[in-house]
Amino acid sequence: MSTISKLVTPTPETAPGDGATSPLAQARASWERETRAPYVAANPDRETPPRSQALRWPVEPLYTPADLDAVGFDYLKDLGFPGQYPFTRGTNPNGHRSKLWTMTQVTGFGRGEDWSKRARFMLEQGLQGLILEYDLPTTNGYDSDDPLVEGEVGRAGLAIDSLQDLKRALDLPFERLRYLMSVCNAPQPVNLAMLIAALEDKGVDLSKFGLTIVNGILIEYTCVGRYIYPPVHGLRVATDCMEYIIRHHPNWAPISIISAQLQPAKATPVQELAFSLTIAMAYIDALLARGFGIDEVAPYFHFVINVDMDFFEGICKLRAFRKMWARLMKERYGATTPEAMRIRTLTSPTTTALTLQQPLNNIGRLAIMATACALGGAGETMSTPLHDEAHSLPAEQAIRVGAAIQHLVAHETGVVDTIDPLAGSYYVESLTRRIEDAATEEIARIDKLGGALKAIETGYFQRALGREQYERNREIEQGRRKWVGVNHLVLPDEKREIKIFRLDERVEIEQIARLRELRAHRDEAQVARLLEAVREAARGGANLVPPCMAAVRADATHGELCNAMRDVFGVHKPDSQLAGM
Amino acid sequence: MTDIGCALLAGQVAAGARAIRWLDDQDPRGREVLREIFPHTGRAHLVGITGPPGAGKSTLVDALIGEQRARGRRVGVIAVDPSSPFTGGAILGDRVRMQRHALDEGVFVRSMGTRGQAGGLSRSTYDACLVLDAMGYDVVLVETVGVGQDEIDIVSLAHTTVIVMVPGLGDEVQAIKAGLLEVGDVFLLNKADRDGVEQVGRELELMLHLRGQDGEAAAWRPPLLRMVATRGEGTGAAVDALEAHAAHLRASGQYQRQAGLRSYHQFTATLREAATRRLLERALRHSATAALVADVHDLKVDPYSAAEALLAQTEL
Amino acid sequence: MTAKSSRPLRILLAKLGLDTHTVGITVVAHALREAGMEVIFAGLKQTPEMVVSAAIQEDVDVIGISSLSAGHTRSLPRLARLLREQGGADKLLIVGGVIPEEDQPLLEAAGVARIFTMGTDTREIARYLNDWWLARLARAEPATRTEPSAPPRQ
Repeated sequence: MSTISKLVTPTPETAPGDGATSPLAQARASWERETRAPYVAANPDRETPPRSQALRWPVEPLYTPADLDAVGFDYLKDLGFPGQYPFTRGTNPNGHRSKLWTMTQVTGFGRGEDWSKRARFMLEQGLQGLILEYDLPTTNGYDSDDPLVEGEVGRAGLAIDSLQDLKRALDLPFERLRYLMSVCNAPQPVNLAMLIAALEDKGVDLSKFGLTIVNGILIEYTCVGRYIYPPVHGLRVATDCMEYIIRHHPNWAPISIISAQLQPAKATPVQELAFSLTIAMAYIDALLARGFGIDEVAPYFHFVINVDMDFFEGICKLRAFRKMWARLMKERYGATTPEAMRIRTLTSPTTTALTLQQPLNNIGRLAIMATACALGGAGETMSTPLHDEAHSLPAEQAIRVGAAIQHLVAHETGVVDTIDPLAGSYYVESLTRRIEDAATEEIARIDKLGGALKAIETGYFQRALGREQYERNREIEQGRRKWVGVNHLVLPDEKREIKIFRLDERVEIEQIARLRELRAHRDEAQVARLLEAVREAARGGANLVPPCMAAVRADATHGELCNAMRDVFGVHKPDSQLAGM
Repeated sequence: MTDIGCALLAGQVAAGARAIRWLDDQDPRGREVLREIFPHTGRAHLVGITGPPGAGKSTLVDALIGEQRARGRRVGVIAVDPSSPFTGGAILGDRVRMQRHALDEGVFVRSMGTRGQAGGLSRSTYDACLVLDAMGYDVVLVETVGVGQDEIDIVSLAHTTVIVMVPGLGDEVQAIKAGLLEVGDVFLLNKADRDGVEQVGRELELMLHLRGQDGEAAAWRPPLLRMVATRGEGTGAAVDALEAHAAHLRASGQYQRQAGLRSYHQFTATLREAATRRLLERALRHSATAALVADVHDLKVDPYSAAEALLAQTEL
Repeated sequence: MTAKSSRPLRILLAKLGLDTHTVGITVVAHALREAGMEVIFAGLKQTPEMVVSAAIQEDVDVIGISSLSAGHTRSLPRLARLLREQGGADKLLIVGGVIPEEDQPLLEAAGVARIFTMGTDTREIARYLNDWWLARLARAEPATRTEPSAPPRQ
């Protein structure tokens, strides 16, 4: 037997208990010996031993029923049926045969009216939902005239200083728009208050409209960085918003765990599952402490999950997400209703797989990743990024191609005509279980640290991601991981064109002028009184949303309200450890 | 006097920063500057801040800076983080917590890597304290690596040693407490808004009470103060306690004695290092003694006998 | 860099403005530590004034700014000017991140010594800094006596 085939022959430990003598094991051994080994002797593996893309786990040349036995695979326990516990085969009883996923794309830039114009265009392309992204001053809790934000107003998203700005942005045909997802975490009570007030003023029937607020502050501390207050206060603010929505707008989605932000920070599928789920548990624990029951709050949790080019690991991650959520809710929290155990997801191809180099290749990548999303179970919604996103703000052609990719996966490939078509694959099922088992171990480790909040406060999550970022980067630099256009099939004189989207400077000037105008024409004494009411709520335990709502209606600004809470909570300043170094 | 020495004594930040760099890099110019400024030292109150990781030391130092500034004092800070034993490199990130003072001319923050030194400080931490002292900083706060109970070099460096504790650290606190309790002059229980603070507080008070009964240190009873450094709560009382301890040391004559001890400590450490270096250099120049050193590497002789043999040959 | 040099290069890393993407700066910090350098992390959301003040107090040899936002055409020239004004002209200023080609001449004219665009190999950054540092050490007055802490092994 050659060295190579010794390396790739399954070790006895991975075979089932009596496998060594079973007919399957014998047949496999004879295939190894008589058929594969002679071939491999002349044609060695390209890589020895091949490793999976994301987790760097060894990949066997062949998977058989023995691999299912090795992980103790049990159809009823591990898979069950679509729409039933543990939901591994999907949360919808009919998969995507009755309904396709809702198709969305991210948008958001400029002033209110700029965003509104772009949003109308996207709705005309057949999209039914919109994701609202704000500029950095807004997501970091500053007004447009703060000296720190110079040059950033309206650049990476919509600029919001006051209720008036948001009302201009929401000048939309609401008969076409099914739902809106607002991505604003740290200043959430202010943002939520403004959204409610604006929708009310537009005459939208709030009981029929779907509003999702991301409200995912714990992920911000872990890897994104758009936080304001120290983590413990960030969690309290987020819990206030969840509580308010559950009590007053029970048809909305008050929390979305953007696992899709852990993935670009180079979390492995195992880390992504463990970090996202423990972060969700931190929110759940906070809600339970306010007197809710698990069956009441669990259905509100929503996850956004990216799929990378690691095709099978991505698919298995989606399946493990559904199963682990169901099991945690049932076994750990004692949930009793299927609704509490059924995870809600938005899936999306990741932007971090896309390259600046040879940008048209990204269309291929997007199609592959969108197919993986569909195969793993797209969930309620799929969103596609755009192939030229790394270059500049999406061109209208890229928006059209992005939308088309979802349609061709849905209508031309047939991958969603049957439910969970990869179930039963020896590789997919054994990998799903191994990912689940490893993530369960990691959750136990985080439990021991005291849960997600503690893991963030001590920098455990951040350092784990930092190490992974460094390791991944080294693999690409040393060519151990191939990336087309970057370190493989490189065009020698390709000019890497990087464009930074620069808004007309007038946007910033006009936005600031508007803000000053607003301040000049409001009742200052009333604003001061309402800001103090926000401080009072922050100091005590009262929910922050109602006082924020009163204040935004009196034209208190976004930055002023965030400052009022800064006065009480202080500001989060991560050192190198907490930044992941 | 050298230009750097003059500028440093005039309080120029860049000059002091450069002198510390030379001392840290073991550049001989550093020693020269140190000789020049030594007569101008001895005024600053050196405060060591130590405690387990996760105790929030940097945030606490940030709060203490704020309070000291409010009282009109100029504050120097030295924050020590570990260097990699393999590459010698380091990521020093403590100053992030103190960056709000970055533009305050009355505050000087310096980060240092341990550069191979055990004990929670770097070899040149003491030298850096002398530079900040000579530059006219009234208080120098030294934040140690703070890994465990044996990281207590700070005690021989500082006038006042502050031990930072927090609730919720679990069993490891027991081990740390045993080592640190003996040496703390002021105990700060940070994150006092957290669950478990009462229990940790009671345990510490009991242990301090028992220590107080030893009689010897009867004149100074180490206080235990509660703080929430992120919100600045309890900072005033903490600075009061630091000042009370300094006053106590001055009144009892220990302030001067401690400085003398510190200097003696540095003197012996320097002697030890220089003597070893010279002995080895001389040993390697002669074939017989060089062979002895080689035998140590080859495990042909035990290290103690080799050391005795070398000392005997050099008539020490 | 020779391992455990008694005079390691000191570099201050920081981000200016509101951009909080940390993957790049984290990877670079790790890589430079592995190359034996002392990396002082000054934090996110910094102003040029704060960075310059920190660089002088820390007496770093190099300031490295990570930038993924458009604000760099304003903030970096200001940083370079402050550095000169405050006696830090001997410090090297380098920038990494998303820097469009059309901005590069402006930044170089303002005093940025080197621009590493997104996707630069971290080994290239370490090599560049190492070469610069060795050249600077060689230019400095006669090498000060190194102090071996252990005899060389055979």
